[in-house]
This record gives sequence, C-alpha cells and structure tokens, in this order.
Amino acid sequence: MSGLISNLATSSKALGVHSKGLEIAGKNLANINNRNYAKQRVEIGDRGSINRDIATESMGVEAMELRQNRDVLLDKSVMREFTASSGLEAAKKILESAEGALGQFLDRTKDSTSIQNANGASGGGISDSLSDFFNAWESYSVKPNDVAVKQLLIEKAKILADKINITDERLGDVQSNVDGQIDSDLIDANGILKTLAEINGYIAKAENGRPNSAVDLRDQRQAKLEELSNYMDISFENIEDSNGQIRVKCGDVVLVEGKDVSGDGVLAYVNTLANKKFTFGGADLSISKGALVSQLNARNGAVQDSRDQISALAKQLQDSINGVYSTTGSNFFKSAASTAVGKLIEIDSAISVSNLKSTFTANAGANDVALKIADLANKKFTTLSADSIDGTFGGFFNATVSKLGQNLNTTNIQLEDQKLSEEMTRSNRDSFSGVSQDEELTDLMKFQRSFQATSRFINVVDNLLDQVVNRLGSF
Amino acid sequence: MRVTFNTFPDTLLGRLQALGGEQNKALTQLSTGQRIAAPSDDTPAMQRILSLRTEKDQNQQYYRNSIDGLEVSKTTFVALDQLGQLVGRGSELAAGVSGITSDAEYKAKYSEINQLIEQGVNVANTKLRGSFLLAGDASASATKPFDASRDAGGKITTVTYAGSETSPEMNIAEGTKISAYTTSDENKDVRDALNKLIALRDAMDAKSPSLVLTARQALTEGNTSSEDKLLSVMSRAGSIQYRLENNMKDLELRYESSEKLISTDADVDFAEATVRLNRSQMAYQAAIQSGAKIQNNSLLDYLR
Repeated sequence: MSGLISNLATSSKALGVHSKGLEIAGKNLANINNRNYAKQRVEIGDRGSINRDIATESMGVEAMELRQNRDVLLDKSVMREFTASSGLEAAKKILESAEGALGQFLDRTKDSTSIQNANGASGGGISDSLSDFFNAWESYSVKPNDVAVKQLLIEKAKILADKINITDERLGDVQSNVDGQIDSDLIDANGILKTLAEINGYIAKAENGRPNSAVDLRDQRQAKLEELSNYMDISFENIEDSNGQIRVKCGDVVLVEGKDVSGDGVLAYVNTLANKKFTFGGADLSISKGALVSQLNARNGAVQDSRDQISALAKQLQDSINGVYSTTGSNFFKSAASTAVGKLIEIDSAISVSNLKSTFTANAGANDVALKIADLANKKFTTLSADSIDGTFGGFFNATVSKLGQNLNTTNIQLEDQKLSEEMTRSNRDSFSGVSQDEELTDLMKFQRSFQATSRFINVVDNLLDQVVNRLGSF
Repeated sequence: MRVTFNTFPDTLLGRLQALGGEQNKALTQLSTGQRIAAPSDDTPAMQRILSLRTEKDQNQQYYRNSIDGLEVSKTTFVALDQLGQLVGRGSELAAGVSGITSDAEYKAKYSEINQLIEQGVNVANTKLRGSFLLAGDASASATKPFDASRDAGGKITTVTYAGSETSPEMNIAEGTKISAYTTSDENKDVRDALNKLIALRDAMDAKSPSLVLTARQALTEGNTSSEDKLLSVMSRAGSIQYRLENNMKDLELRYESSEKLISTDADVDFAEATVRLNRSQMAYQAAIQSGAKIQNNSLLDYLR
C-alpha cells in the first residue's frame, strides 16, 4: 500500500521532469533563429533508492540541471574569426573609398581605335589630366601664336590643378570619415564593456550556489563578447570562485574584471596631427587586430601614402614647370608659399591668354620654353637628386594608383579567404551549439510519449488504489 | 556532423551570395565589354593600361604635331614653288634680250619683272594662320620678315631679311624634334633671289644686254644661282614632308599596337565571360532548387 502511494509521488515528479523537457524543447524551438542562443537540455538524473524490508524502492527521477551546448574553445575560435573578418572588412571599406577618391577608373567607351579619330585623353583621373596638360604644352609649342591653343592650355592646367586638389581633398575626407567611424565604434565598444560588466554581476547573483545555471545570461554575455571582438582582439578567462564571472583582456590589459570595467572604463582615440593611438583608462592600449586598428592602419597607411604621393607630385609639377617658365619672368604655378591653405597646387593668377609666354626671347613665334615644358612629360626624376618624385610624372602617379589598388586587391583576396574560414568555424560551432529542428521535434515526441506513459502509470496506480480503498470494503 | 536548423540556410545563403557575385561580375563585364574597371580588379594590368594610355595620348599629340608640321611644310613648299616660278619667268624674259631688243621690249620686260618682284615680296611674306612662314621664330612679329625699300616712285630698290636667325622646332616623337620651317639661311636665299630679280629689272631699265646676261646668270646658272638654291630649299621641304608622313604612319602603327595591348588587358573575352555566366547561372539555379527541396522537408510534416 505504501508502495502505491510512493509510486504516485514518484510519477508526479516524473511528470514534472517530462514537462521540463517539453518546456526546454519548446524554448529551443522558439530560439531556433537566435544566433546567440546555445541549445539547452535538461539533465535528467535518478533520485536514488531506499532499501525497504522487501526490496529496494526507487525515489524516481528529477531534472538535475539545465545544460547548454556551449564550448569555450569553439566560442573563442569564432571570436578570433570575427576579429580577423571585421578588421579586413573595415580596411576594405576604407581602401574602396580611397580608390574611389583617386578616381582613376577605366572607361573604354570613349576610346578611339584609330589615331585619326582620337580626341585626347578620355578618362577622369589625374593620369589623363597629366597627359592632357603636357599635350596642351606640345600644341602650344607648335602653335605659339594661336589664341585658342593658349586658352586650351590654361584650361587644361586648371583642370589638372583642380583634379590634384580635389583628389587630395577627397582622400582627406576619407580620413575624416575614418576618424568619425573610430569615434563611433569606440562609443559602441565602451557600451559593450559596461554591459559585459553588468552581465557578469547578474551571472554572479544568479549562479550563487547554482554553478552554470544562468544559461540565458551566459548567452547574452557571449553575444556581447563576439560583438566586442569585431572591434579588437580580446580574450577572456574565468575568475576563480566568482560564480561564473569572467575577465576580459586586450593583450595584457584587463578591460573588464568581473562586474567592473577596469581603470576609468573608457576606451579612447587620441587623434592629434602627430599622434594617433588608442588608450584605455588613460594608458596606451596596443590593439593588434580588429576593425579599430585596421581602420587606423588604413587611414595612416595606404590613404596617407596616397596623399603624400599626390602632394609630392604637385610639388614636382610646381618646381619643374616654374623652373622652366620662370625664365620668362614669372611663375606658371603659384609657389608653395603663395598656394592657398588646403590646396596643393594652383595656377598663378597672373597667367592669362594675353600674357602666356612660349619663350624667354623677344621673338613672338619662338617656342623654347613651351617645348622644354612639353619635354618634362618624359623626364625621369629621382629623389636621389633632390627631386620630389621618382620616375616620370605619369609613371609616378600610376605607381600611386597601383599601390593602392594592389593593397585593396590583396585585402579583397584575404577577406574572401577569411570569410570561408569564418564560415567554417561558425558552422563548426553551430554544429555543436545550434538548435536542430529534427532533434527538438523528436524530443517533443519523446517527452510527449513519456508524459503519456507516466500519466497511464498514474492511472493504473489510481485504479489499484481505487480497488484497495473503495472496493475492498464492499466484501 | 550534427546538422542544425541554420546549417542548410547558412550554407545555401553563402553559396547563393558567392554565385550571385560571380554572375554580377560576368554580367558587368559583358555589359561594359571591359574585364577590369578599377585598379583593384587587376592591378598589374591596370598599371600597364595606364602607362599605355599615356603613351597613346602622347603619340596622338605627336601625330597632331606632325599634321601641323606637314601643313607648314606644304604651305612653305607652295610659296617656294611660286618664288621659283617667278625666278624662272624672270630668266625667260632675260633670255630673249639681245642686241636687237627694242626699247619698247626692254620697257615691257622691265615692267613685268617689276611685277614679279612685287609678287615675290608678297609671296615671301606669306602667312599661315596669322604667322609668317619664312620668318624663323619671328613668325608673330609685327614687321614683315622681307622688308622692301622703295624709291620715291614706289619702286622696290632692295629687299632685306628682318626675320629670326633661329627656327622653331616641334616634337614628332619622344625625343625627336624637327623644324618644319625654313632656316634663316634659306630665308636669306629667298631674299637674294628677290634682290637678283631687282638687279635684272634694273639691267632691263639700263637696256644693257651684258648687264641682263650677268643678272640672268646670277639667277639661274651655276650652283650658287637663286633657282638652284630655291630648288634646294624646296627639296628640303619635300624631304621634311616625306619624313613627317612616314612618322605619321609609324605613329598610326604604334597607336594601333598600344590599343591592341590595352585591349588584351582591359577588354573582356566575350566567349569566356558568357560561359562563366552560364556556369554560375546553372549553379545558382541548382542551389535554389536543391535548397528549396531540402527546406521543404521537415518532421513537422509527419507530426499530428
């Protein structure tokens, strides 16, 4: 009799366990599209047994704990891949903007296949403007008395100067945009650090005496860690005896210690002309990977290199053209000191069709100066001889374009490879932590059947008790 | 491998994106006819293209220079030819002079030679697009290169050369310069021819057969005669034209050669791109169909 009553109690507990199983299967299905969610499962355990006079009596089953399919090694691998991908993506965006700013694209629609029908350079970049400019000097050397040719030369010179200045300005805008993006990213990163510390605090409270039980909070924390790993290379480790709290580090610098953000808790970007770096709590922070440092590297590397080279090109143009043209008594381009702030090169305001000169002699039809300037198109400069550039004007600019293009090309290839690597790592983790619809549906069936079986058992026991309680008295 | 709910969609999405990218690339290439558009598409090729385009543009400019030079040279040739004909006519008129030449004939010849001189000075000061042709690099000077001094009656007594001693050059290829203009020595030969015509005219005025003979010999006989010198100048102008025309042909070939090289790097191989587009389209369709089929099957279909 006592056995039947205890069976009821045992079955009641079993029903609870099956219900929990159904609840978790439902929860798993509900989160099937939640990328930050790790599959949960109920650990079912035996409650033990008691030795009675006749035999051993089972105490039934119970839901021992809630576990989630989370593997620290896989999580760290995914974070590492995120850091690498974000860094390359950030660099790609900046380099693409810089490539656009350089404006040296190929459009063959206007290209002529016959020299008779050709109509001059047809592109929109500095390279074509340089060709046009020196060809205009060639035309001027052939027709030094032609007013239309003089007008064309002045226009081509203005176009070249505009192209150089606008290109430099656009590259400057790219750099300013990067600065803005870094500032914005740091606001996000600081917010994430704060949230991580808060979640650590919640986990510590929730897991006090119940280790690893705050599975949803752990999901949230992992999501934030992955978000932060987009910006920088971080690592984390458990803090011993802290109820599940972690320490988040970037290199050797501790960013989050349990429920506190270290130092003054602020990631900052020092952006002065001479110094551009990241700090945390006022001290220098050495970030080696991720979007933040990639943006800074692209800004100060490829983009700044392009600006420096365009500046050198402008200076060489000023020096070389003025070096020849000054024999006529004036400059063609403004000297560096007279050029407006923010501009690299400007045509001298005194230059006009009426006073443009092709010679330093008194002969109005002479073309010595025009010819010498036209010849500069093919002159090879060298920085070893105190020139500002190496090679010809066109060759030097083409090298600038190629350098940036190659940089972007390499980044694109690396990103393509990196995306495959990230996809594989994510797939590996998903294979372990993700929710399988088939699994959950079979679990649903399993727990449903278990629930039904236990219910049937309770029914049988009830019948037996009914027999004992209600029917035995009728004899 | 444990296949989760997101495994199929993630794999499908990744493949569709990759195949979509390939289709887009092939489509862009086919619609523009270009294999590359940005430096990052193929940097070494882009560098070669930019360099070849600069060379092409420069050759095109040299071609235009050559056309201008040819124009100068041809116009110069025409002017020199006219001057040669004037000298020839003067010589013809002198050849008919002998002891029995009447005063009226002398007068008529005098008058015609005087007109030849006027015409000669006019031709020597020929302009092309507002610039004197036979003035060296003083082509834009306000004064005419051949200055005619006249006596009280308006008759030209002497012609002096007021042009430049140097002639402008032009680039017709990289590192190759040429002057399509006459040299100062050649311009001075023109001046001398005009002065010899003046001497002939004055000999007619003097009605002296011996003076006419001397003047005629100076004009047409021997290596130092004006007729020979003018022929020599014309011959040089002709050789300049020949050189310029050859140079233009060479530039045409180089331009076409550069264009071919650019095309090799920049233009798309339509057959290859079309095959690539078809291949990625088929793979895209297969991915969609297989994805849809797999996604369509679920245990849910069998649960009541």
